Amino acid sequence: MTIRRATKSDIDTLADMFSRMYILNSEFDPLLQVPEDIRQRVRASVEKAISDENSLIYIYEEEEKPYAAIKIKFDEREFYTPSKVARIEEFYVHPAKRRGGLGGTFLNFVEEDLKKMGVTLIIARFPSKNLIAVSFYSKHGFREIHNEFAKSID
Amino acid sequence: MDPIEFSRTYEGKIQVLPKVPIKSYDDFAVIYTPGIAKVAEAIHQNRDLSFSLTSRWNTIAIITNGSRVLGLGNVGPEAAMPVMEGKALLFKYLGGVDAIPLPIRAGSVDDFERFAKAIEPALGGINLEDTESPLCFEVLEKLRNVLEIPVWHDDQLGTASAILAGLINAFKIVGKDIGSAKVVLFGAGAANIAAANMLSIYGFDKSKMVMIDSKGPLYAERNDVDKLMFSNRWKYDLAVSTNKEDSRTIEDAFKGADALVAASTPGPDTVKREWISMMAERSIVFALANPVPEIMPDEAIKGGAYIVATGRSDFPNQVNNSLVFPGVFRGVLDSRAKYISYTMAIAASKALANYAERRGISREYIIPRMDEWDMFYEVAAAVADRAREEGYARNPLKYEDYLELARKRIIEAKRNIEMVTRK
Repeated sequence: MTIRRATKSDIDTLADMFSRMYILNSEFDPLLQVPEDIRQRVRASVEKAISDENSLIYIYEEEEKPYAAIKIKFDEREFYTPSKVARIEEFYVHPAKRRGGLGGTFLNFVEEDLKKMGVTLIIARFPSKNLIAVSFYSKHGFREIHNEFAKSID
Repeated sequence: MDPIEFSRTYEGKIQVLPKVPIKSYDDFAVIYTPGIAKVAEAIHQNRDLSFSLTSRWNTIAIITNGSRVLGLGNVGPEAAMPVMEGKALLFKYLGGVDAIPLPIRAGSVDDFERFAKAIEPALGGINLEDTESPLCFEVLEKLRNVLEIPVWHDDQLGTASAILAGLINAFKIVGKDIGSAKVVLFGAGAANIAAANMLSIYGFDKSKMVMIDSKGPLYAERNDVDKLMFSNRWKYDLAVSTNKEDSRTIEDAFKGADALVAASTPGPDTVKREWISMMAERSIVFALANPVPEIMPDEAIKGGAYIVATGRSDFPNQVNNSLVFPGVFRGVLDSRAKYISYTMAIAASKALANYAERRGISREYIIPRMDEWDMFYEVAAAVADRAREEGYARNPLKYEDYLELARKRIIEAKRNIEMVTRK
């Protein structure tokens, strides 16, 4: 098992993984529908993030085959302390590798790496109806601090 | 006779009849109040006495919400009633079991749970029936966990047990090893999902199975697998644990397969002859859709199949849940089991396979026929014996005693039916 930072050669793999995550999110709420060109959009976003100092992408591999990826974005909170936070924007684990502890191992590694960079707060964002994610993050010490309510005024 | 005319003539298929003789007016004082209060008091002191002092020991409910009735789909509980009545008749005639048909208005697991918990005190078991997938998986799992009586879903476990019984003997005939066999499961509904799990517990290698649904072979990286984790975790589990050779097309899946278990949509051309011809030598083909198998037996044979089974009684090798459920319930009721495990269902499969083997298995006889009545006694005794071994039996007896009990009760039920229905 290896966990490493993503490079440009990983862009297509990451685009596949993260677009699958957004497509799955669309199952949870009609307000999370994805556009038809989701993969291209995700690819462009990943390409940008790889060379962006405010983002970090990690890849989990076994025998050189990628099975999971996490994308982090650093944010500044203007009115709260600590102000610097790492936000998990995308987190995908290959179906064949779920429920075996990979996600927890991967998350722990990322947390340790962020600590070394002086980051003290990590935030995850995911659809509120994704109960598996709720359970996963709760199990790993996260708690709910914000609610995001949405209403279509179309 | 026209089935509607038939139903109108008999005004339904079952009725409740007393089994206690009434010789005089005084008998009512024992049968009912005031004498019966003593029985109620005894059960109040020890609830398990409800199994021996009332008819609970032999009474089950057939529960459905009518959301997947036969091949008709969601026809609702009222329309499910004639089917459940028919099943109740089979329960009595083949297994000596008093089954109460109870189609209910239920849309969720909670609805089923509330209802089942509420009626549990009157029952020795529950047979869940004709309820859509994946709700049927959720309901079965929930009820098995919360009730202290055995719960069975015939479309899953009954069919899966019959499939396993047929495969045990089919593999003996073709002389192949079960542990290294490649099995294609065509159709990803309740029956095949349960079959995959049961075959794996028995000794088939799950990683060598390939399950095919309307989108083709199931594999971990397929686009819809993420969604399945939430919408149908039973199918999801199979998507990530089967098909290690990573077949992406139906042709790849059939290539070199030793057995096909099709439980999908009626044929005759749902499964193509050319796919059968891609299977390994001496292949086994189960085409179980009714009324028309996914591929007709003669076509499958032309494609190279060595053994063919269907769900129909007019072809050899009828693989049907009716071979299983009467004996299974006779067995759990006679042992007063609290639970039906997968391994108890496998005991039923082995009993069926052994019965046929003793009579002489062949390409055209891998599983007993429905009219070999004494097979039900052996299934019942095997299930009851296994319940005792696994610690689920409230009434632990020896195999021979269970066998005798089942024989006596089934024969008596048949005799009673003949007496009551005699014109």
